[in-house]
Amino acid sequence: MADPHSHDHSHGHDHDHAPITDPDRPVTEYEVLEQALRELLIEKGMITALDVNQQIDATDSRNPVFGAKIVAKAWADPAFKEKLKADPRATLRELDIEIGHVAELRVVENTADVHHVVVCTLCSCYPRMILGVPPAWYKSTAYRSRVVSEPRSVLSEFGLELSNDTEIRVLDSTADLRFLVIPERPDGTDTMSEDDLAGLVTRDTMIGTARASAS
Amino acid sequence: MSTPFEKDIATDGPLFSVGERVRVDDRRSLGHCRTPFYLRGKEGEVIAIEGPFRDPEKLAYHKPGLPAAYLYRVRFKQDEMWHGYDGSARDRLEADLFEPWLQKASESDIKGGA
Repeated sequence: MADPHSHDHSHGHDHDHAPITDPDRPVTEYEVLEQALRELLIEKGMITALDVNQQIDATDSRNPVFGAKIVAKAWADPAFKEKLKADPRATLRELDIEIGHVAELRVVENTADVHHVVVCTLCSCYPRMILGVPPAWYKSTAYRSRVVSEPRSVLSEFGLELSNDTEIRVLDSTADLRFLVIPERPDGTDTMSEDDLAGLVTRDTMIGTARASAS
Repeated sequence: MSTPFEKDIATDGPLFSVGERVRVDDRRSLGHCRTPFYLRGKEGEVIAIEGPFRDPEKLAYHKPGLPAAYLYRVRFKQDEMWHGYDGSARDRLEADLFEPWLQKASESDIKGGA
């Protein structure tokens, strides 16, 4: 049979048969491996294409907006915040958010005295269940190697200057824990609604490379 | 503190308690492991016992990862870790380390408190 992907695609329907790949670069060895494994598992009846698609969809549906709502609720409701820090899995289950069985979630809080910043020096562990897919810089060798040994310089390059009165705690997620940072609630936000507060919580504030700002 | 999602895989232990000083083994490893090189040989303080988790060094080779290993959060002083550390003496780093990589810091190793 001729290569099914080499024929002309303008033949009357609106989809392409070939997997969607980045046209700007060649397919990598790992992408070939992933595709071969996926196709084999589907062929053997162990998973279906729908399973794969639903999992991608579920992963993509988690994004920082999700985490921002949790942080805003923690800001607005101190009792919720304490429960969240003490038992994230059970507390988030009450909000119909499942942590899943890949890792445990831990929640830390940034204050004027202590500033947490999260990294995974060994790979790219990230609280995907809350924040979705990590940004490219989080996976870069430069961030992963430098933030552990010179956190103040790295944070300064992110535009975050911290005085020596603030203790910096670098959290290296080396194993089965993922970390969500509750940034410090900005001043002047006492009258804001939870929805408006959530708008102040960016992805980087929940990694610890930025501070939440009211403006 | 909440317990891990698998509670029925506990083995003996934990060997270390919160507040205890530990030293990360400075040994070589073959294959997958979750102990960063920069922490090997370093001393820190146990700040939390996270419970038993399946052993990543076995899971990586499609084994069940049992017996499970206790996972600890260990806190290190930045100015003890990096020569010429440019920051506050209060700065810390925390990492999650499995029991087989930890040993009790010997008395002679302890130079003052955490």
